[in-house]
Amino acid sequence: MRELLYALRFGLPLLAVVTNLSAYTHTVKKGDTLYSLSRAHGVSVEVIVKANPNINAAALRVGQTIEIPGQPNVTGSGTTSPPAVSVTGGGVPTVHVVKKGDTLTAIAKQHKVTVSDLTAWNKLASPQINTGQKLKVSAPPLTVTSTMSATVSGTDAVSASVKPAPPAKPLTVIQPPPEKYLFVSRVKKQIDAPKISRQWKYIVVHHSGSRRGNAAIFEYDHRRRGMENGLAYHFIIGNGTDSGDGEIEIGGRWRRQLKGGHLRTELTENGVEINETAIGICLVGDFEKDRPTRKQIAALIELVNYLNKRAVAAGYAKPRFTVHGTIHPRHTDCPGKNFPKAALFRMFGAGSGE
Amino acid sequence: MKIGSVQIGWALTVTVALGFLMPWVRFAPTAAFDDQAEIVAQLAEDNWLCDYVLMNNHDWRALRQNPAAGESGLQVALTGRDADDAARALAEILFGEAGFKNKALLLAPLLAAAGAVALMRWKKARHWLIALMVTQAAFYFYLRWQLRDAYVNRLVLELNWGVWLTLYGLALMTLIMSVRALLPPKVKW
Repeated sequence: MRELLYALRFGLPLLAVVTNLSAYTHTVKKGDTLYSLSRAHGVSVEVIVKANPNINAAALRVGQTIEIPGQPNVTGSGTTSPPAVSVTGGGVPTVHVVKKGDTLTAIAKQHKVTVSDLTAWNKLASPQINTGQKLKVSAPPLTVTSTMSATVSGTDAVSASVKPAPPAKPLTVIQPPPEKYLFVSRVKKQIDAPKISRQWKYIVVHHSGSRRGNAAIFEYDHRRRGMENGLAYHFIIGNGTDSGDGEIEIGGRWRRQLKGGHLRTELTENGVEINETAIGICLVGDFEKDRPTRKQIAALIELVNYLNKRAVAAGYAKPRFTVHGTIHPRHTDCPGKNFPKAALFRMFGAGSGE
Repeated sequence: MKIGSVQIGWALTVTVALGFLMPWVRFAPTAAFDDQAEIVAQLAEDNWLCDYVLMNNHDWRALRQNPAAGESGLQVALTGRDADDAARALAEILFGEAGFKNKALLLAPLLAAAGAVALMRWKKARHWLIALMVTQAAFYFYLRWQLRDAYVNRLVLELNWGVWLTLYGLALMTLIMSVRALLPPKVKW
């Protein structure tokens, strides 16, 4: 689906639909939001809203059509436009056998393509070509399959093998952009820096129990209390007092992949201290009295998802999301009654120790 | 029959009272958490219009799913955290834990009725009209702030028609009262 959409952006026509490079008309389905559309089509919400001044951004109606700017406009006339590209059944790239006296420039001119296209399609390291050499003079074929919901007459499941003739540029399927992080991106390098050297089985969320603080303050406090590795947590998420609202700070224990110091040492699992396998995330605030800020929760969701991804990428199982009071119920109510535990347990799966 | 501010005021009072007796919140343990990026974006951005005037996508979707299910405003106001029903217990978190007790929700229909009476007697008690208008506006924005603040709680606790009828009824009542207060005394409306 995404490959199709990205291909569409670069002008690939679908079989039996008319396209032009102005806008794509999307028919709103159940569950669609401007945000989900913006993500799916790689354009910002603002751009969509600007292109559709009459829509109610808070309440899209099912069946409503929305212009997605910068997308090929797909309409249902049932004819193929006279495009710069043509649809072929086989999708086999045209091949030119080099004859004596041929040059790249002459071949490019003959097939109405550019020298750089030829170089790219044939992965040529130098402009030198040899007699008898076979050169691709069109882009490799691309098979596109879509179940896109758009105002297309007939079927909305389209499958076509398309070959541009002659293409202006080599046809490549643009990969979707890498996932964007609103909070993690600022510290992504620091999170990624240490190689994960142990199986983290839990992600345990705490609150600081104080209305303000940051990693440096807690580090000082924990050292003063005799913790030789300093800050007991691996991550701190600020509340806008002594660090930014939703700002993620990385503790030394994460950088050095050390065990946490955030749970009681007597808490064990199969004879192993749970601190050995539990990542500690502390949200600054006293959630017995206040609520975590919206940005703190947003940062927490992103961080947990990112840590899960990293664990899986490193070949480990996803750590279980839980909170201090759940893992050690007789000892503490941390992270406080106002922490949205129920919703986050639902969000991160049934194995969250609820 | 001539429709003036008094008639509109009473109609809004009835709306608020009906809304108070209709479902407000329902426990939605199977709420969709698939698009966590959308949830993060909603939490990260400050959208004043959606937070305090309109409603966000999640609330709008919830409204259309199961309009008859849930606990009424009256039930939420009269039951506490120990209630067996998960919705009522969670509603306490939604409306109660940041210093705003659930029983204060009973003020909603009372304020609306008082507003209608103030509209009837505005000539004799203009200061009451203004005081009630300010109280209603404060009550509305306080509730909206609570709902905004408890956004993540609300991912397992969907709001239903009752809460919106009550809130918008109060908001409209405040608007009618402010228009009446601003109009010159000799203008009949």
